[in-house]
Amino acid sequence: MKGYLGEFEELVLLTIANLAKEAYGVAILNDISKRANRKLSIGALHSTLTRLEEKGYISSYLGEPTNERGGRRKRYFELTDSAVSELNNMKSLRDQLWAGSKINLSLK
Amino acid sequence: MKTHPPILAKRILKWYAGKAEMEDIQGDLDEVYGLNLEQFGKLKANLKYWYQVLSLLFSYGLKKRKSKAAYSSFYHKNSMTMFKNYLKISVRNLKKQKVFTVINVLGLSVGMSIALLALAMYVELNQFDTYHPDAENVYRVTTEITYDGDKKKYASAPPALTYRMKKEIPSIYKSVHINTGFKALIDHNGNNIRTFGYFTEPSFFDVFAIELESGSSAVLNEPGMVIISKELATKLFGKQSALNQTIETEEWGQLRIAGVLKDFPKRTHLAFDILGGYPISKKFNANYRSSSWVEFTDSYFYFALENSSDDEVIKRMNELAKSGIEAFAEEDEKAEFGLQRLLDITPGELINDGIGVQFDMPVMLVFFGISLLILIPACFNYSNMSIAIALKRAKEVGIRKVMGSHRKHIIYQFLVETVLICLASVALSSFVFIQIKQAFTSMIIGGSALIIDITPTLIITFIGFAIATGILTGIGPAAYFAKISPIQALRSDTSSKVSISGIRKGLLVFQFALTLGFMIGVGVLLKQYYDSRSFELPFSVDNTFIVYTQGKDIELLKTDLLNQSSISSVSFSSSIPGTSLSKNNYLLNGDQDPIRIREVFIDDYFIEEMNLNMKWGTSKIESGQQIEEVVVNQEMMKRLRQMNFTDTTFVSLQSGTYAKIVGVIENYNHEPLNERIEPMMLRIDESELAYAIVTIDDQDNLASTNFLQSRWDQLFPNVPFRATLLETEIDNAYDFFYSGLKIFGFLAALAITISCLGLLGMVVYATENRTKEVAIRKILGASKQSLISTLAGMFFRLWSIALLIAIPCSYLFYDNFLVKTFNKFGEGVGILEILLAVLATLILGGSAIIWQVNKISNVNPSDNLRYE
Repeated sequence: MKGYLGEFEELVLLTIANLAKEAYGVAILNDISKRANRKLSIGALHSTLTRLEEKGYISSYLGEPTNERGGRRKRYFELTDSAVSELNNMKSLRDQLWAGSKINLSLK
Repeated sequence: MKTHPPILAKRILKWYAGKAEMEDIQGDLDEVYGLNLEQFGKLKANLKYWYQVLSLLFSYGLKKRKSKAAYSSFYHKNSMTMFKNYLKISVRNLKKQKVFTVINVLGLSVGMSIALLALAMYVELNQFDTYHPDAENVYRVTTEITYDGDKKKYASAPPALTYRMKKEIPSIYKSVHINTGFKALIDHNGNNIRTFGYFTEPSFFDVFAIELESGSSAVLNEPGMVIISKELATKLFGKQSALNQTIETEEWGQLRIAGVLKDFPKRTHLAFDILGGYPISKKFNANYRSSSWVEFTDSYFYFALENSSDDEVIKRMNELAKSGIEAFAEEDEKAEFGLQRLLDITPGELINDGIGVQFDMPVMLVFFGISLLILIPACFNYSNMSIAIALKRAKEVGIRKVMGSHRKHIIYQFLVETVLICLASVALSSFVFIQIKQAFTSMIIGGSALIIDITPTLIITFIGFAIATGILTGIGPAAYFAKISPIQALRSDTSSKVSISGIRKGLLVFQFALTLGFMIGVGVLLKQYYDSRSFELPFSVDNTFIVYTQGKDIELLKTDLLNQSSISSVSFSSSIPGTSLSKNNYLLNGDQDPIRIREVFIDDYFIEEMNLNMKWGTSKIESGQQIEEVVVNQEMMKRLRQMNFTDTTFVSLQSGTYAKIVGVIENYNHEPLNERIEPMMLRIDESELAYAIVTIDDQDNLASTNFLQSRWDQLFPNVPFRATLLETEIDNAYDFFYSGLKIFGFLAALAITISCLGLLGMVVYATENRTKEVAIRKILGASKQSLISTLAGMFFRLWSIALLIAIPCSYLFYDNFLVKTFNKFGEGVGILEILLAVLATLILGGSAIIWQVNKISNVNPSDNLRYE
C-alpha cells in the first residue's frame, strides 16, 4: 500500500539511506537524535518502521549474531524501489515549490 | 560490576510481548542501555530504560508483531493433521466406552428433539413472506393506541390515513388495501361452507407473489365478483372449472367466480379462501376512504417503497395523520402510526388485530425456553458423566501433557469428542423429529401453515446447533481435563480424587427427584384424564342426539318427535350441555360492577329431561309472564349473597330485563369439566333455541339417525338435516384439553427418559469406579449379596433424600397449580401415583445396580486387580 509520506517517515527513510548497510534500530535512533536534535523513543521509532514496512517503503532482514548484544541479532532495514521513487517525488515537489516561491526564502 | 537493566521492566515487556518476535528490539534496548550507562550512570540509564519499555508498550510496531505472531502460530500450520488426529482418538475412545457413548447419545438426542422442533419452526417462520417481489421494501402501516394508560399496537391502520398516503406520497410505487371483513357462508348443495377472505384491490397481485390461474385481477374493481383459492375451488366444484360459476352466500347474495388462484406457497402470514373487491360491500364508500379514522380494525395497508428511506415516509405519514389524531383524541385515545416491514411480520412482535396466521416472538421465546429446559438436563448429564469417567482418561491426559501437549490441545480433544457425540445425537434426533413434527403441527393453532420441509438450510441449522451444543456442553469437562496435572495423573492416585461427591451427589439427587416428580405428574394427569372421561354428568349422554333446529318451527318438531314411540324425551336449549357456553349476560348490582353470568335459553322440559336436581322452588317456568321467570344455579345464589343483594328473588339484567328467580338448581357442569362452574341463569325464549336434545330408546345409533332424518325431511323437506351424537359434541369440546395433556405427557416422557439415562450413567460409573474395591472384598470372601447391599446403600440414601424433596414439591405443584387451573375434579396427587413412581424409580435404579454389580463381580478378581 502506498500512502502519504509523513515528515518523520521521510526523515527515517533518508536516515536509512545515509546509514546504508549499517541501518539498524539503535543506529537510526542515534543518527536521528544527533542530526535533528530530537528526543526519540524506541517504541516511536519501531511504530514508524513498522508502518513504513507496511507501506512497502522498506524491507528488513536479520543480521548475524553479535557479541555486544549478548548474541542477539540486529534487524537491518533497507529502502525499496518505491521508497526511492517516492523520495524523488517529494524532492521534486519541494524543488518546484522552492523554485516557484514569490518571496525570498534564502537566509541572509 | 556487571549491571543489568531493571528486571521488572524486562519482565513486563516479555509478558506483554507474548509470542511476538522480540530479539532485535531487546537487542536495541540493551544497546541503548549500555550507551546510557556509560554516559549518564546507572540511575538515569535505568529510568531511561523504563521510559523506552513504556514507549514500546504503546508502540504500533509491537502490536503488529504480536498480531502477526498470533496468526502464524506453529500449530496452525498443520491444523488439519492435528484435527484428524483428534478425530481418530475421539472415535477410538467412544468405541472403547460403548455404554457411555450409547447413554450419552440417547440422552442428548431425546433432549434435542424439542429444540430441533423449535429451531425448525424458527427457520420456517423466517422464510415467511420472503418470496414476494421486492419483499424487503414492502411495509405495512401499524397503529398504536394509548387509552387510559394502556398502550396497544395494531397491525391495522385507519383507511382515511392510508388512502391519503397512497395519493400523497410519491415514493410509494405500489400498494394494496386489504380489509378482512369479507366472511362468506357459502351454501353448497345444502351444506354450509364457511369461508374467510379479504376485500382488496387488483394491485394485491402486484404486491404479493400470488398468481391467478384463470380470470383477471380487474374483477376486484367490480361488484358481485370474487376470486377464490384453488383449494376452495376444488372443494366446491371438484374437477370442474370453477370459473364463471355462481355461488350463493348468506351475507352477500349471489357472487360470480371471476378468477381462480394458482396454488401459492403457504409460507405467508396471509390466510384466505376468497378475495372480493371493495365494491361488493356498501360500507366502503367515499366516506370510508376519506374520514374513517377511529374505526380502523380489519383495514390494512401494504406498500412498497422505491429508493427512499422509511424515515421520510414516516415523517410524511405523521403529517397526513394530523387531522386523524384529533379524531382519536375525541375518544380519549392517543394514536401513533408506524411502519412494519413485511419480513418482520412473522415471527414478529405481539400485535393486535393481526391478519391471518400469527406467530409472535414471545410465544417463540416460551417455546425456546421449554426446549432449553429439556435440553439442559441432558447436557448436564453428559458433562457429569464425562467428568465421572475421568479416572479412565486421566492417564491419557497425563501422557499427552508429558509429550508436550498444551492445555488447549487437551481442550480441543474433548471438544471434538463432545461435538462428535452431539452430531450423532442430532442425526438420531432428526428421526424423532420427522416422526413428531406432524403431530406437533396439528397440535398448535395455525400449524397447518407450517410445512417444515427438510431443506438444506434446515440441515445446516441442525448441524450448527449440534456443534454449538457440543461446544457448550463439552467446555466444562474439557476444562476439567485440561487442568489435570501430569504428575498426579500418572501416579494413579486420581481414584481418590474423583469420587461421587458434592456436586455430583447433588445432581444425582436432583435427577432422582425430577424423575419422581414427573412420574407423579404423569400419574396425576392420567387420572385426571380418566376422571374427566368417566365423570358422572347429571344428564344421560347415551343414545342422545343433538338436532340442529336451524331456526325452524320448534313446536312442530317437538310435537312430531314426541309422537314417536321410540323417542323417550325431547327438550330444547340454546347451547349443547357439556360444551362451552358462549352466551354471557350481566347482572346489575347497584353502583357496583355488574356480575357476569352465563345464560342458557331452554324450553320448559329441559330441567326435567336433563335430570337437574332442584334445590329450591319450581322447575316449571311460566313463560309469558309480565315479569320474566328464571331458574338459576346454586353458584349464582352464593354470589348474590356474597354481593349482599337485599332481594334475592328479583334481579335486573343489563339487557334491561327484570327477572324473578323461581327456582334454584343444584350446580352441574354445563360446560366442560376444565371450566369453573360459573353463575348460570336458565331462561325461556323460544327464538333462541338452536338445538333439540333427543333421546331415543334404541342402541343402534345409525338406525336412530336415519329415523330422525326421515322425520325431519317430512317436516322440513327443503332444509338439510343436521344432527350429531351428544357424546361426539362433548368429545369435541374436550379436544383442546386433551391436546394440552398430550403435550405435557410428551414433555414429561422426554424428561423422564433423560433423567433415567442420567441415573443409569451414574450407576454405571459408580460401580466401575469400585472395581478394585469389589475385587478385594471378593478375595476376602464377601458374597454377591453383601456386595450388592454395599453398592446399593449409597443409592438408597440419595434416593430417599430425593423422595423427601420430590413428594412435597410435586404435591404442591400438581395439587395447587396444575390441577387447579384445569379445575379440580380429580383428586390430585394420591397415594397410588406416589407408590407407582417410587416403585418405578426403585426398579430402574435397582436393576441398574444389579446389572452392574453382576458385571463386575462375575469377573475374576485377579483380572480386576491387575487391570488397575
